[in-house]
Amino acid sequence: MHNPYRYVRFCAWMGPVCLVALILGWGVLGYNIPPYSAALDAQAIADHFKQHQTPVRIGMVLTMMFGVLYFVWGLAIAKVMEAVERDNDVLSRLQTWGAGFTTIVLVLPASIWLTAAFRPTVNPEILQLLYDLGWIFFDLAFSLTMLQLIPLGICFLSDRRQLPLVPKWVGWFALWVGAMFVVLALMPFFKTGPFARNGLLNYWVEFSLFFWVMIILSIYLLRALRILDGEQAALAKA
Amino acid sequence: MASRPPWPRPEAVPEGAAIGTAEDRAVPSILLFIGADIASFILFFAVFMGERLAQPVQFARSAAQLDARLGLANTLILVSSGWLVARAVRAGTQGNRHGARRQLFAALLVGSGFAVIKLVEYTADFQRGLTLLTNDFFSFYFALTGVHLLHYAIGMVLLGYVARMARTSTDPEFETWLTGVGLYWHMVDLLWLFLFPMFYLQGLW
Repeated sequence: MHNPYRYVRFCAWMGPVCLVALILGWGVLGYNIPPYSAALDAQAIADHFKQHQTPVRIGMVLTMMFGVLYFVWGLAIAKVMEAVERDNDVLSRLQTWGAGFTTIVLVLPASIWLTAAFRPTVNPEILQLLYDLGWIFFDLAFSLTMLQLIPLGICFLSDRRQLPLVPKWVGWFALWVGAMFVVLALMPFFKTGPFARNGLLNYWVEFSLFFWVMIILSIYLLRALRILDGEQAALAKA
Repeated sequence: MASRPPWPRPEAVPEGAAIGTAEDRAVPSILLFIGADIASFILFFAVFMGERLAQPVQFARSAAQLDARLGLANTLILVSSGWLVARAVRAGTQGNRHGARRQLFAALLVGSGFAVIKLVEYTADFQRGLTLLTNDFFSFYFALTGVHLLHYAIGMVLLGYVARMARTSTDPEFETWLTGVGLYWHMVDLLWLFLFPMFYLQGLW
């Protein structure tokens, strides 16, 4: 039987798998919940890498291994978007590229932190710089994820079905998160306070939105696939 | 302000119609975006007020360095443009696209004054050596008015887009766009009504 959604559900489940791996590997084992303050001296960062070198190495290897699943998940989103798109596939393709680029944001900083954990006995200032570099890339490459979220939001909002495949509020939520990522641009200007990398607004609000988007989109992505599968089954019967 | 709220339009929801279907939902979904945006600004405001409690003297002294007259001028500009947008929404939902277009252009013209004043202000601040890094007050001042200015810029582009849409009078989505953009513009307006007293007036007297 012809099934245009073969493998898509599998791809969609890779989002939650990626999320769990990120929280465990990058977050817990990587000691990134929350990150160390940018106001700490080099010795404190060096002590972190010396003390936690094994968990950080395992965590960063996990992040690098599972980060690619973000793109697999993004492809499932693109397949649902294609069912909504009317005139052309610009939005779903932008979204796919955005998801692909976001994979780099997950993998590349992890390799930088892994390098630091790999040689924790070098000059503390080098370790501090590597730690900063990882975070600068992680936070400031937000435009790559914006490239995914804004086309996705616009696409789901333009859904003309009687009952939209993905609720409009999810589209607005994605648009809002994509737009609010710009607050991350303030991060390089502060070492302390709410806009610093471990600050209330930068980390706990703006940065955590990335994870909320993954959870909410995963739930509604699987729901949309159930609807599309049902439509295909009805077509096959007719 | 319009004499009656543009949404829900009474004629859109016939009496006894099923409620909650996608077609005639009473609340436009853009309100989720607006609600989330306002919620995050409320959080920004709360953090600002929290920091202010710790150093009230420095915050008051810093606020005194801003020109409250420029802040007041921008308040008047945004409130007037909000009034014009409300008139545009009323005209548009009554089928008067030509009128809506005229009001939108007026709103754009009045609204553009906000950017001019803000840029003059920022330039003067930089010339006096005031930046994001001067102290905590100015960190918040530049960060929050900067994020607000970005919202404003997006709003101006959207107003222009809807004004253009009003000319091609066959587009059935025009009213949805007009109402949504109108709500967004009122949010830009509302946020400034909080930013202005918080930064310019608080602690002056």
